[in-house]
This record gives sequence, structure tokens and C-alpha cells, in this order.
Amino acid sequence: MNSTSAGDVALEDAFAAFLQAQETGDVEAARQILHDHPGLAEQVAMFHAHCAQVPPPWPAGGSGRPNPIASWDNTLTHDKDTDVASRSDDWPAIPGYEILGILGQGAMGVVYKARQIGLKRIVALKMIRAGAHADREQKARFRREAEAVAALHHANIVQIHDIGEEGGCPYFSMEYVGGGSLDQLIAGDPQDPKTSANIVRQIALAVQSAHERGIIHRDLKPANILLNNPVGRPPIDGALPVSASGTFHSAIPKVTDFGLARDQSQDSSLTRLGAVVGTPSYMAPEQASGLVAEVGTLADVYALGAILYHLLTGRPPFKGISVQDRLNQVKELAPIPPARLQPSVPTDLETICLKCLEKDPEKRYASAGELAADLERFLNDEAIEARPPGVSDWVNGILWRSKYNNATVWGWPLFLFWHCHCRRQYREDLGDLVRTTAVDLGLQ
Amino acid sequence: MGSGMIDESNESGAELERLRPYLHVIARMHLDFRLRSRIDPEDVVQDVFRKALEKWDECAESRKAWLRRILLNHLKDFLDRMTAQKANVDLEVALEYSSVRLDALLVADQSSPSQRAANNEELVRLAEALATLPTQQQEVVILHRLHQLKLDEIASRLGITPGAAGGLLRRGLEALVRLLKNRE
Repeated sequence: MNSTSAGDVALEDAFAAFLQAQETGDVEAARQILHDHPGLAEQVAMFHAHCAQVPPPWPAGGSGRPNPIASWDNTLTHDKDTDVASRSDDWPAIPGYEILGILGQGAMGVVYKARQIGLKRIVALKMIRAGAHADREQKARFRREAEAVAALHHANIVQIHDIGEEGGCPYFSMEYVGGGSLDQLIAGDPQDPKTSANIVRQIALAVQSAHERGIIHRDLKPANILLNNPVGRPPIDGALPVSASGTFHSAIPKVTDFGLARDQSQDSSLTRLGAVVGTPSYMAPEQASGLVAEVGTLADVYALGAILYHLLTGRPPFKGISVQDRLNQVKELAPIPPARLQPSVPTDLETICLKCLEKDPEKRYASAGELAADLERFLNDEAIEARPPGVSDWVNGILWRSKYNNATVWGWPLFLFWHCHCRRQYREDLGDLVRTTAVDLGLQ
Repeated sequence: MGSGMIDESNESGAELERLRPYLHVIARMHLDFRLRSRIDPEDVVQDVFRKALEKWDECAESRKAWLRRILLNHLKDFLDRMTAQKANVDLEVALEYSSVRLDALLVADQSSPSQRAANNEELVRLAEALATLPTQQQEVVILHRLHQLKLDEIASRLGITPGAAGGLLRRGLEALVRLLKNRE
């Protein structure tokens, strides 16, 4: 690894140029450099993963705005240590609400089930952990975002009712959806194709309406899709609106966690570009590369495809032993076509799903709305607009899968030779990375 | 530069020499890079050694933690003096940064089972791992990750090309993460 061939020097310079472009916020230049040096993306991704594990432990002393949060705490201290017991004396006292219990907790805060006293309705109340948004600007940003999301009114978006602050911690209250999440529903089982298509169609329409108001979700995944209770069943905590056979066609999906309460405390230009925020299994490749400026509406289209994939096959498009492993797969591998895992998946639906999961954002649907429209065509048995992948995509797919499938490997000895030759360095690095990277960016 | 003048023939001298890289890293971690023209981290370590030898038998904890505390207090005294002199307006921000960090650490050292202590431990772990890296990698990683200097600023401070600085940073960070991982 310490050899200094001309190629290494060129790559070293390219890496430096990329960092400098990042630091000055010149996304165009950064993108161009990545494009010109195909080997660079791996280095950059690994570098970002390493940076995430050595975050600046104190306010910036050099360039950049001072940031009073020790981001160190947020990144290296795992939430598992701070298990909030379900004792009521730990619950916050928020005027106007009576806290009834804890629905869930995550890196950024706790979600309580609460009764809004005046209106006598049950709400979900998300309290942002102290320290998560400690400075004034971040609080202001949180508020602006919450207000933007509160302005969204869509049958398939969890409605935000109220935004406030108590004891220095911002909170918001939202519609209580008692039917569990899509995540709990799937539980590893493939779902009926038409029902899956219909669920994702509704979510895509909701996401489209958010995109039209300039709001990008960035972390769409089954756990962020809540299900309401079908008519005639009382809301029971944790109960799914489905029978064991998995027929949930009467449930209405509602998207939650819109751009809110995401960790945006990192503010040096480097970490802003490089911090990987999201859930790797559903994350678009451009998001996995840490190029935040590239993460737009099409990253959400990718995630919608990943959710469809999970519904159809019972598993996310990429599974790996570590987060880093999954990040690399997201960037490098073509997903196994759903019909190969689940033969009952119709070809058209597979084509729609794989179009969303294209590595190149420009090859995906141009908007969530277009995805919804194609799903609707499929549901109406009309011809869909997406085309199956071309021959070159197919060859690429074979090459990628050859990493895992010996039968295919022997069929393609020449390609394999070329493939191994090009990828060897990467795999060595990856091996090291997987061995050394179990902190997993605090995402596990 | 204060070169190592500690007598290594006795036990205390040998122990100090062993801990020199670690203490040197800590001095560079906590001393804002803009203050380096006023005080050389190597001199700081040398002063700490002198103080330590004077009261060698007073140490009631791990030698490493004891020396670290002496070092932090020494830095704090230096910062306080600089602040009192109001020597240079340009350095005011740098002084404030370094002081605030040190205050937090010194408070956490004495009391608190809070997150601060955990944070403090992370810093000790980080310093230990950094101390085992080659000096240039240490310096680049400290300036980039801890003091958040940009790559070209680091390159010009060290008199190397940005390409070389980038390489040191990438390899240093990779080695550091591996070390931190192995120590868990």
C-alpha cells in the first residue's frame, strides 16, 4: 500500500484536490474530480467513514463558525447506554399534554404517546434530546423545518399538529398512528405484489407532494412508514392491522420523520458534505458516498424502490454484516432482481423496482410522481413506461454477481480476470475496513 | 526546541521518556495551532517533566493520568497568563478556544460521572492511539480533525504539497481508526 507509482501519485493529488473542492464547497469541481478518477470514490468513501469515527471533539478553532456542541458526544456515545427506563418520573412535563407512555426512541430523541388535554386527542410527541440541537441556529433550523413539514397536508403523511420547546428541548406533536410500521408488518415475509405496488404508490404520491414544497425526506424506509388501523378495529398498541397471512390492503400507509430531527449538528464543510445520514439498506448510492449536495428528490425515489423491493422479496436490496459493508454494496453492486428471489413478482413490477434502484440518479424515474404513475399503470394492467435494463446493464449485472456466484464465475473467466484485477485493491481495502469498522457510524 | 534532557538512567527518567510521545500529542491536541508560535509543545512537555520530577513522590494515581493533569494545568496557566497580558487581539479567539476546552477537561477530571467524563476518556484514548502514529501523520490528523484546518492550510504550515498532506491525512486517519478499533 506504500508503493509510489505514478498512478498512486496522481490519485493522491486527485484526493487532495477533491478534499480542497469539498472544503471550499465547490460541489461541481468535487463531482468532476470523482468522475475523472474512477478509483477515487472508494478512497473518499472510506475516508468519510473514518472521519465520521474521529469527529472534531470541540468547537472549530480554525476556519468555520464555532459550534458549541461537542459533536463527539453525539457520534461516539451510543444510545444503548442511555436506556430511558419506562418510569413516569423520567417523562417530561409538557403543558397541555399528558404523557401516557413511550412509543419509541432513537438517536435524536424519544417519542411519547400523549393525550392533548384541551382537544382530548391522542398524539405522538417527539422530544428532541437535550444537546441534539443545542445552539440557537440549529434550534431555529429545526423550527423552520418543523413548520415546513407541519404545512404538509396529505392523507399519506403523518400530520404534525404542534411545535414547541420545553426545558430547552424542542418537541413536536403529531398524528398518532396506531397500526405499527411497515417494517413490523413485513417481518421478513414477501408481500402480495399488487398490494405492495399499491402501498408504494400511495407513499410515492405523498413524497411527491412533499417534494413539490421543497421537502426531501432523505431517510425513507419501512420503519418510517406507519400504518393506520383498518376500519372496524380498535387501535391497540403494537398490533398490526393485518392478519398473519399478511393481507394489509385496507391499511393506509403514512410517511413520518420528514427531514426532522436528523443530526445536522456537523457544520464544518467537510463533515457537512461527508456525514452519512440515513439507513444504509435503503440509502441511495449518492447518499452513501456522502455527497450531501447530490442528495435530492431522486434519493427519495431510490428509497421508494428499496421499500418496494423489501415488500416484494421480504428483504432489503442490500444486506451486509456491517454498515460499511452495506454502504459499499449500495455503491457497488446491482441488486438481485426481485423475481429471482420471489418468482411470483411480475416482470413489469420488477422493472419498475429496478429502475428506482439505478445507481445513476438520471436513470431513475425523474420524480416520485412518475413512479406513482407507472405503479398505477401496472395496477391497471396497462403498459408501463419503464424499460427493462439494456444489454450493457445486463453484462454489468453478471459481472457484479460473479463475485458471489461460482457457476457464473466459471462461465466468464476472462471477465473475471479483468474484474479481479480492477477490484483487487478495493477488496483488500474493504477487507481492512470491514475488520476495523464496527462502530458503524453509530447507525446500528 | 527543548531537546530531551531527561536523565534516562534512572527509573523516573525512563518512565517520562516512554510517555513523551503521548504527552506531546496531548499538548498539540489542546494547544490551538495559532498559539504554537508563542509556545512550543515540545517545551511544554519539557516543563511538565521538570515539574513532575520535582514532586515525583506525590503521585497518587496512575503516572500517566497524573502527568496528563500536570500538562493540562500547565497549559491552562500559560493560557491564563496570555489572556491577562492581552498580548494580541488576533490570539484572543485562539486563547478562548483552548481555555474553554481545558476548563471542561479539568472539571471533568475532578468530578462528574457525566458525559463529559466519557468525552474525556475518548480524548485519552485518542491521544494514546495518535501517539503511536508517525509524527507527520499525527500532526496532519490533529490539525485536520481536531483543529479543523483546511488541507491547503495544513500543507502550507508543514511546508508540503496538498497532495502529500492529503495522503498523510488519509493514511493517518485509517491507521488511527484501526488502532482505536483494536483497543476496544
